[in-house]
Amino acid sequence: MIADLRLAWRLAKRELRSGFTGSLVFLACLILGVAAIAAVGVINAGVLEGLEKDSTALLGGDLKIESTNRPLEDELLAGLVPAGARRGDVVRTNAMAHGQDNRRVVVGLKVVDDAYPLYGEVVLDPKGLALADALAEGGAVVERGLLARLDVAIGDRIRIGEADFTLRAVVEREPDRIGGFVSIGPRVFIHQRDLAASAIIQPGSLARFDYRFALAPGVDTEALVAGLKGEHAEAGFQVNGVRDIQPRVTRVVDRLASFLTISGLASLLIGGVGVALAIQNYLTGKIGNIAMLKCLGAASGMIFKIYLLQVLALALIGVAIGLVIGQALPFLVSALTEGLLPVGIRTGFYPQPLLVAAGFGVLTTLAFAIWPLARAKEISPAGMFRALLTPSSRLPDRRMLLALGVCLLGLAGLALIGVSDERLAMIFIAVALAAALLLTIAAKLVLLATKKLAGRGGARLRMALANLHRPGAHATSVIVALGAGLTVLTLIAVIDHNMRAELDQSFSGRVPSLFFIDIQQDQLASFEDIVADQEAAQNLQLLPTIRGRVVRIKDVAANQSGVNHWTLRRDRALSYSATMPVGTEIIDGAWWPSDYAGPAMLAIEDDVAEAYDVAIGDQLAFNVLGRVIEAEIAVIRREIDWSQGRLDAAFLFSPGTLEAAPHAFAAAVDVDATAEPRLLDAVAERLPNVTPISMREVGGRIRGIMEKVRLAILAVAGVTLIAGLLVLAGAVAAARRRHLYEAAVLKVLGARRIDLLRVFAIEYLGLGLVAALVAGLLGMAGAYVVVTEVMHLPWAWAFGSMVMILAIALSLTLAAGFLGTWRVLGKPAGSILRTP
Amino acid sequence: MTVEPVSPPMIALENVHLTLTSAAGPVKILRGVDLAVQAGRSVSVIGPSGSGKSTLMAVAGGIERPSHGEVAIDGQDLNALNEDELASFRGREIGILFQSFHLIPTMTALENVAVPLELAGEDGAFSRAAEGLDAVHLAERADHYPGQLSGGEQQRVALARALANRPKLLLADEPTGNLDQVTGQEIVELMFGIQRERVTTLLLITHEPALAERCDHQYRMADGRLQKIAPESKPERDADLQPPLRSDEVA
Repeated sequence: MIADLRLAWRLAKRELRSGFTGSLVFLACLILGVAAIAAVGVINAGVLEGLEKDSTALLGGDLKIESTNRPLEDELLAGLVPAGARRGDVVRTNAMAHGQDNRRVVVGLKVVDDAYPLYGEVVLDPKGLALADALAEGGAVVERGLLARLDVAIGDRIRIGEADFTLRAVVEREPDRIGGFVSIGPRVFIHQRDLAASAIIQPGSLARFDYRFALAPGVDTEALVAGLKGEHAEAGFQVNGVRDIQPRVTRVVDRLASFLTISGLASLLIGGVGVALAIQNYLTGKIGNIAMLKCLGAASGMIFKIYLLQVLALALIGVAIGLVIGQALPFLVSALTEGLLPVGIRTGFYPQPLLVAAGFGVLTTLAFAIWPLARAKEISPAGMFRALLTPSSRLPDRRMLLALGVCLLGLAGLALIGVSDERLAMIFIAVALAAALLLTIAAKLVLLATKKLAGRGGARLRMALANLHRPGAHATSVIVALGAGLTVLTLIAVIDHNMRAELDQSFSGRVPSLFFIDIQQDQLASFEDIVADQEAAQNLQLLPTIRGRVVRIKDVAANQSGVNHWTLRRDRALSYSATMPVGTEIIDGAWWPSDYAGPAMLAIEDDVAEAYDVAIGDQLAFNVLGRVIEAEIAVIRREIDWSQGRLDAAFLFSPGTLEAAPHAFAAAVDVDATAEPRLLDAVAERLPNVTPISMREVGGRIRGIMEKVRLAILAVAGVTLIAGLLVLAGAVAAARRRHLYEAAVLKVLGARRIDLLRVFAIEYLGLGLVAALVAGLLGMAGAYVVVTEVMHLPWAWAFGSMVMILAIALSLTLAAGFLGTWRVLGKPAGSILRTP
Repeated sequence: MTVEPVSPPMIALENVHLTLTSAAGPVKILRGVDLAVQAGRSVSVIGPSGSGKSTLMAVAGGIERPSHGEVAIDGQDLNALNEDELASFRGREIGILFQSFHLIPTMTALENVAVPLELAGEDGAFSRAAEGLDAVHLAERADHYPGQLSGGEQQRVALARALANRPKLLLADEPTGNLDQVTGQEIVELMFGIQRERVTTLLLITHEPALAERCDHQYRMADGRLQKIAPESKPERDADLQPPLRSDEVA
């Protein structure tokens, strides 16, 4: 066995001396996929390591106590942590900042004390300026983007609430900022001693009070956090340790990494078709050698080993190059991914993702090499006597099929390891299998149809179409590979079209254009007056909002219930109403009478009821501003359709319970774009603490983020399309010999170059048309399922995208065919026919 | 004058038929061929293109399986061997020389000659290959690739390769067909010289009557059937080229 392998390797080396025809396509396909998977793996590992190392900085301390809308007393806080801890307080809220010429921007205000940050470092521009110095004497530090929007520069003054601040610096890095989430406005830092003067925080206005602690050495942080969570399960504050921050970030990172790994895997699988094509092409050129070796006494097993070793040698080169690029890429793209990833990328050497990528590369090569290799080993030496050597068309034997099965299983296994989201990996495996099957069947069907058609057209059409399905044609491979790339592109383009349509509808259609939060009870009358004064403002809706946290479900503390639902992650807006809100659809229970004055009743959404496993009559407990309030579920209603633009709350109380708590109101107003500034001016002037949220602006911001995401997704689709193109290039290269010969013979028979060009053009246009047709249908069907079933959006036909994809497919195949055959056309027939 | 053979014939074909299926339907290539060649003898087959000469050789070399009939080489029934057993039998017992040489272009002359020895797991493959090249007077071109050799030189390398394992049977398929007369003559002299020296059985396919007549027995292939034409009808003018013949039994 070993001797056999050594001999096979010796013979393989001799063959490799003359190079590997088609190795460029082979290598390119492999490098593309391996590099993509390795890069994503390395970035992911880097993010996770960064998260691990920076977790205290990201949390802001070893322990964070977070309270919404209500500051906590010092004695309470002192009792929570062992002596020796350092404390830092941060208040986070939204406010309106005013700049030059009446320019206004809603900002995310971060009010810090001298201890901030307990961990990590704030980096400012100008460099070297300390935060404490920048914030001294009414100073403010802002995010760079705010300068242009307020038309101000460092040294200028801005107004926040009722106080003026001097802009001292731009913040470059904020150690406890987790990106990747939409924030209402750009960041502004001010000092706590200036907070009162600004009068931003009023009773009931939305603000978060963070108390961060750097614990004394020797304190068991995890035990402390766990203990506090147990003891204060029903308290009005939330206890956070470093372990709580990771799931939030890793969820975002994991999903992104899984998605990107899958796209890398898709391109590797599509590239696999190119690998198979390159191997097949290479072996076609080696048929003579193989037959000769058999004449000289080589068994078919030896032939298999000789060529498998050559393929593996080349694969290892490809994998190695792919790994080097994959390892280097994160250094290059860390700038591009900024703002998409929640934390900065830590670049380093991570062997595990590289090993996974290498495994994918080798297994893909093997999976796609076995079939052509199994056919090659069956080549009959008899061809040597007949000057007619054809590859065997037999099905590979059972051992080969078994090996193929093992490779595919290995790939599936690696997909499960490499893609941390197991469900996503399973879906990918199923979709990949289904897509390969569907594409192959569709390609075969369409080719069958062209075969029938071929008999009807003129000579050129007949010749071109015949080229698509003659024996040894690569049309099916090209259609499957290019089709897969185009399917991904169609899918993404159509989904994107639908999302844009929905976004346009939501943000420029019927939805209220302006929301206001933090309207105090005593400001309600003024607010209503302001809106009434503006003729363009219509459909004013008002909703009392009180922040509260679900602390108990039936008799179990919420944080020990095992329920994982977004409503439990932090405090939520609660509200109350005597009457049933317009559009409510009751699933179970009955609404309370409008004059109801008994114990607290509650209306919840059906998905909350399902997640909590509660029914009518069950009790939920909330902590509202430090007080625990119990309420009985009286109504289960259908999930609120937020797209209708109604002000509503997931937890709606019966009257008589929440009114007593200090709370603010939220308002929604429909106003057209031209009248919006006037309304904003009026509110800002008379009610400076009220924060407006313009849906036009938020829509713009969401569009901005979608642009970034779209860019990333397009890059991904591009990679799969490139893999398809490589396969096309491989097929064109493989057909070169045939084109040369065909052109020469046709020239001898009197064909002009333009005639030949037409034949080749029709052949490649046909290829592109079939690939686009199949991909268009599959992509559209896939998009329909995603849009209507997964995203629950209305379906919009994206004919523009379809035309674009058709154009892309046709121009690509035509360009590839043209480039591949142009040189052929110029060759004199004699030189080709002399050396058949 | 028939001499009873003491050992089985080197080549024994009995009622061999071969039909290949093509898109246009079945094509009968061999139609009941019988041939027996004693060890150490040389036999030539002439005939028009497409008459089945090369197929006859492929069957004798265990490369093509007959549709019907018996094939035994040196007493070994080839029908009883599977593909891989056939390959290793061929590697040990049979050398094949082709009209277009079929050297492996990526291997040097020496490596080409060594391949059958390596495949058969023989020790000292390269030293024996060097001896083989020496025997065809090409020792100094051992490190050249086929592309760097003339046609005659390539065929000499092919001859050395065919004989590397000292096979009992040499199959030569128009070995001079691609060579000019002088070069072809050199190859012929080398081939017959080594054949006589090593007492190798030779089955030679050729278009050249003069070359055919140098063999102990001559056959004509026509339409898939084999017919003996010499020694009985051996032309006078070439008699001086041939050693005196014993007549062998030919069925």
